[in-house]
Amino acid sequence: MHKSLQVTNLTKEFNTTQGLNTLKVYEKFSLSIPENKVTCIMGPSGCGKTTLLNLVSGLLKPDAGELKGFDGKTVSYLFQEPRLLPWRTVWQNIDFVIKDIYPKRQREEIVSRYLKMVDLHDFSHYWPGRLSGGMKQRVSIARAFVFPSDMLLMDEPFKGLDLQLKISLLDSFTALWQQDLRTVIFVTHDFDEALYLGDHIYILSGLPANVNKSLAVTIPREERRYGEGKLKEQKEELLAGLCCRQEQPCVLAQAIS
Amino acid sequence: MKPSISKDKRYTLGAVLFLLILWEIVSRIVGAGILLPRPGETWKELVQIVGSEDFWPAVIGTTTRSLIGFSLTLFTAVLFAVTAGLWKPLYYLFAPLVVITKAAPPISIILLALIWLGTDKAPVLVGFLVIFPIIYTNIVAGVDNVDAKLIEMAAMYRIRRLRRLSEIYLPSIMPYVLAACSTALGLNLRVVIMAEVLSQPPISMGTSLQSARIFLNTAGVFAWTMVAIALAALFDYSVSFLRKKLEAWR
Ligand SMILES: Nc1ncnc2c1ncn2[C@@H]1O[C@H](COP(=O)(O)OP(=O)(O)O)[C@@H](O)[C@H]1O
Ligand SMILES: [Mg+2]
Repeated sequence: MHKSLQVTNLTKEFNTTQGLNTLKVYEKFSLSIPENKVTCIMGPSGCGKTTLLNLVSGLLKPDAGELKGFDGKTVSYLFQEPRLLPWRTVWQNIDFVIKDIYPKRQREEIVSRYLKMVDLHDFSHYWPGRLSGGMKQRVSIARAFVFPSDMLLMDEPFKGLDLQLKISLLDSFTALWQQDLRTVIFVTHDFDEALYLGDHIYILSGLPANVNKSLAVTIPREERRYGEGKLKEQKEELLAGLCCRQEQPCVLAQAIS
Repeated sequence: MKPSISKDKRYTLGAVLFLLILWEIVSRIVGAGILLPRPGETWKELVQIVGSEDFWPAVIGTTTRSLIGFSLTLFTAVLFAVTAGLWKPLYYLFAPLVVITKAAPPISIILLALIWLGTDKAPVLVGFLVIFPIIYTNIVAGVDNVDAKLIEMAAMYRIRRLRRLSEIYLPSIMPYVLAACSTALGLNLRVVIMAEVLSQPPISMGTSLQSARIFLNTAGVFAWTMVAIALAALFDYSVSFLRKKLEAWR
C-alpha cells in the first residue's frame, strides 16, 4: 500500500467574541494524505480549509487528535496572500529561502530558472510594491518551489489570476512537481483546478468540518485538458452527485464551484 | 510634482523675506540693539563670528559632542528596544525608567550630569538622557508592529534567527528609527548647546553663546543662534536624504 500521512480524531476550537463562545472547526476529524501525491481539499468558505493547513504545518496546535507522519517534515507554504518582503526585490525574495542552503552560483542558476517559469524574469529587480497582485502571487509560487521541502501546502494560490496565466502556472506546477513528486496539499475553490492537478479530492462541509465526499482522479495527467473533455464530464458528474445526496445540496455545490 | 515643489519654495522664500522686513521694522521701533539687534548688525556679527579663530573649533566641538552622544544613544536604544520588544521582562524593567526620564525637567538632568561628569562629557550625557526615551519608545512600537505573517513565513522556510533579525525585524523598524532620528537629532543638538551654556567647556557653541550674553552682545547671541539653526537644518537634511535612500522600495 502507498504510504500516507494520517490525520486522526483531530479537534480544534477557536475562541470567539472575547472568549465568550467557542467555534468548533474540527471535531474527531480524520483524513489520510497520500505521500508524493497531490491531495486537493475543497469546501465552502469558512469550513476550515486554511485551519487544516495551519494545523498540518504546525502553525496551529490541535486541541486533541494526532497528526502522524508530519513531524520533522520541511514545508513550503503558499499562503492565501503572497507574504513577500517589501524591502527586497523579486529576486532577493526568492533567494531569501535558499540563502543558507546552496552556494551562490547554484542559487543564481535556480532563481533564474524559476523566475523564467513564472514568467517574471524581466521583473527580477522590481520591489513587490511595484507589482500587480497576480505577479506577487507568482513570486510567492516560485519561492515555494525553490525551497527544497518535503511537503508543499497551497492555499488557493491561483485565485484572482486570469485564466491563461493560471493554466500556464498549473502546467509549470505539474512540470515542477513531476521532478521531485513532493507531497502536496492543495486547497482550492475551483473544481477545474482540483481535477487538473489532483490525484485525490476531498470535499469538506461543516462546521464542524467533515468529509462530504472523497474521490480519486484517475485520468492520467498527460490526458488532462483544463476544464475540457473527460475532466469536464467528471466535474458535471461530481456536481450532480453533490446535488442529489444532500438535503441542501445545491448550496454546497454552488458555494464551491 | 516638480512645479508645485518650486512653487512651494517660492512661497517659503517670500515668507522669509517678509519676516526679515518685519524684523527690520520692529528693531527700528525698539531702537536698542541690546534688546533687539537689527538684521544688518546681526549679519555683520555673523560674518565676524564665522571669520573668527574659534568659530570652527566651536562648531566642530559641539557637532562632535552632539553626534557622539547621538550615535551612542541610537545604538543603545536600538539594542535595548529590540531586546525589550522581543523579551517582555526587559520591557517591564525599562518602562518606569523611560517614564521618569521623559517626565524629568531637562534642567534637572543637566544639573545631575554636571554633578556626575566633567564639563566636556556632561552635555553628551544630557543629550543621551533626553533623547534615549524618545528613540527607545519609537523603536519598541516598531517592533510591536512587525508583520507577524512575515515572521510566520520565515519560520516556515526555516530562516535562521539572525537572518530573521537582519532581514525582517531591522528593515521593519527602520522607518520608526528614521522618524525618531529626525526628531532626536535636532533636539539633541539643542540640549547639548543648552548643557554647554551651563557646563562651559573651553571651546563650544554654548560657551560662545554664553560669553556673547555676558558682554551684552545680543547680535552675537542672534548670530550664534543662526549658526545653530543652520547646523540643525543640515542634520535634518541628512536624515531626510538617508530616509529617501533607505526607503526607496516604498
Ligand atoms: N484565529 C482564529 N480565531 C477565531 N476564529 C477563527 C480563526 N481562524 C479561523 N477562524 C474561524 O474558523 C472558521 C474556519 O476558518 P478557515 O479555516 O479560515 O476557513 P476557510 O479557509 O475554509 O475559508 C471560520 O469560521 C473562521 O472565522
Ligand atoms: Mg481560507
